[in-house]
Amino acid sequence: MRVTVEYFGPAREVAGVGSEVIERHSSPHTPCAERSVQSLICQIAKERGGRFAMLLLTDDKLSRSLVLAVNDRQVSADEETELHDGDVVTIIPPVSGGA
Amino acid sequence: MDLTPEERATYEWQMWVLGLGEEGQAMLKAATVLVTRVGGIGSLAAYELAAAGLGRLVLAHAGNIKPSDLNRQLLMTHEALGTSRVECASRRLRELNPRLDVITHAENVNASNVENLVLAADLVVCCVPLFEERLLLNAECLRQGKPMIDCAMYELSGQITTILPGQTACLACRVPVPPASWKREFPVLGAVAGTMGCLGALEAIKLITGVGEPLGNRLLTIDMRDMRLRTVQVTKRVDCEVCGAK
Repeated sequence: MRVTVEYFGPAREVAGVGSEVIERHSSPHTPCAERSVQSLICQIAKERGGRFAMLLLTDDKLSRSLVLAVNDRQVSADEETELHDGDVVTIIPPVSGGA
Repeated sequence: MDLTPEERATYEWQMWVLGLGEEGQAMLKAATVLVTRVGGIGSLAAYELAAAGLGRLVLAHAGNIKPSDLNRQLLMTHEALGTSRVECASRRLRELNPRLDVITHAENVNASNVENLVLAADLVVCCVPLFEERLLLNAECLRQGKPMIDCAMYELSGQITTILPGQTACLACRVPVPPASWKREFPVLGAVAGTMGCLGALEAIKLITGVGEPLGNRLLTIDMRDMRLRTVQVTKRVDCEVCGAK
């Protein structure tokens, strides 16, 4: 399965790229939870660690303040959403720049 | 509210915008907008609203102008360094539009003033640097049933959405608590903050005049490093402590 992950704001800064294509092996027998966007992003964050993980994770789970979207529709950070080949995942951490 | 000959002359080209016309211009003249903090985003939001012929602006921003404000706070001037930000902003806005009524509050939004600040306006353009202030404004706007345009930036990126009480997701649906990762000092390029301020003013003009489709339940995010834009459909959180079913 190939999905595109797009990073915005501070997520782009810690990822070092605006977007990337990620490939993960999965089959129809792979449990849904392992094919979910939440599982994918958690896995990437844990693999990369450092500032990337600090920004995206809270207590080893996806931060509830993160806007996570699949094909331009927000999905919950704490409910499993199954990914499909060709999906575009968008990660938007909240920012509050004003003043 | 009728337009004067001077206003007809000033807004002639603007009234050619499809759907705006003299009726929309009169709606702008009758409207009051609260712009909270007139920094990098708020300066441009207020300036565009003044230019568009808004009737009244309420500005809230504490403190005096510092040298480090001048890369982005376009309503401030070098000559006014050390003097009140809101007074300088008011003066600059009235130089552009002397018909504009400007009410200034030399304080930031806090728990004691938020109710009266929101009460004084038809809608709010939120341009503050702290989530605590944003969440206060969000809760008060919901309580009073007033729309809030939530504009924010970081480095070369920006985010904006329009919160319509009872109709759309609120800020607390997206950001239930201030994120620990957000720091008070952050990288700012004036042109990025200004872009978000202009978009905020545009959303306000659309809400006031009924022209176009505001960003309700949609979060526009822009990466200006390579000009990528995404508009994400955001969802009201049923367990939201501010707007959800309790």
